[in-house]
Amino acid sequence: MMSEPIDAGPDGKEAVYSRLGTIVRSLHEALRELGAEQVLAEAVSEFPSARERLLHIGRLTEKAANTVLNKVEETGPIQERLAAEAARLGGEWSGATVPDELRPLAEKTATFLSGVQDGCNATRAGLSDMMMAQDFQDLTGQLIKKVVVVLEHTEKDLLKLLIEAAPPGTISEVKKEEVMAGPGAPGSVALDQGSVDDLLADLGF
Amino acid sequence: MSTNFHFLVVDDFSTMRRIVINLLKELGYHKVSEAEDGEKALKLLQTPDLATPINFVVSDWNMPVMDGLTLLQNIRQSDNLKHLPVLMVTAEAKKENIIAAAQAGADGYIVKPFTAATLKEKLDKIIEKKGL
Repeated sequence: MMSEPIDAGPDGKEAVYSRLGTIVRSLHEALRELGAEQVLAEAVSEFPSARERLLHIGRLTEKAANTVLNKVEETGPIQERLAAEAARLGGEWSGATVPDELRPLAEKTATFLSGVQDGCNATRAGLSDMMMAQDFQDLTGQLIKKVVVVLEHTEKDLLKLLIEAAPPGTISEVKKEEVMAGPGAPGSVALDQGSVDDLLADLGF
Repeated sequence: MSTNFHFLVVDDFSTMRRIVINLLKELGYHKVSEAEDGEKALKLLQTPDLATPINFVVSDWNMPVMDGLTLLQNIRQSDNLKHLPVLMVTAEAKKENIIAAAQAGADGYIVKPFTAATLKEKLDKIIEKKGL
């Protein structure tokens, strides 16, 4: 049926559209015969939950990144103070007149204080690296936002297709059990630890 | 010298703003303000009664409301802001992005993810070049 060549010139536009119309109609018929409308309806109904799950991932990673940043900001200054205090005390020891019997102890203390400074500096550097590692959240967050937008568009297009294809009065909402939503996702059947323990206790565990 | 700087960090992600602000502090730049998009940044830059006026902008590119490139263009078109050093810190690393930023008058361009050393290097370069 596709053998006739189509005149693609300006006057041939009509012919192309009419041919396209025929293809769309037969595709529509085929979809209906195959029961694809149901599949489409299910796909559409799953979009909002998929979007919500993605946003949930975004929120979880942001929260985790913020927890790390909070701890880095809390503990960084502690390390700085320790290092400064160790340096100050080390300076006092090196300028002090120490009786002979205390000399070995003084030397050990000075070594320790210098070790404290090295340790603090290494910890500061480590904290700084941990902070920098949180920049993943910026990149994953941007990606998630973009995918959510794509999902929104696709959902709209699919919905349009579904509404246009369905005879009036036949569109009903498909609600799926959200057991499979994934761990911790909104809408999933989630219990907190206390409820889990209670439930297990009731069951004799 | 570093005490004379008042940075403005512009990024729509609070995590990134915190990271950049902390890095700047590690480098000895303690006076830092922040904004979550270009429009808010511009408003801050145009505030006449800031105790210490902002004299260094570090901006992301991809942001809602007003993106970093538009912010940069606005800064360059404004008589009282056009001399401000602007460092772009962004995940947009396509050739045309970098060319667009350079043509709009960016003083530096850092691609995310970046290291503390890269930030320091680019800042030092701008400070030296601009004689700040």
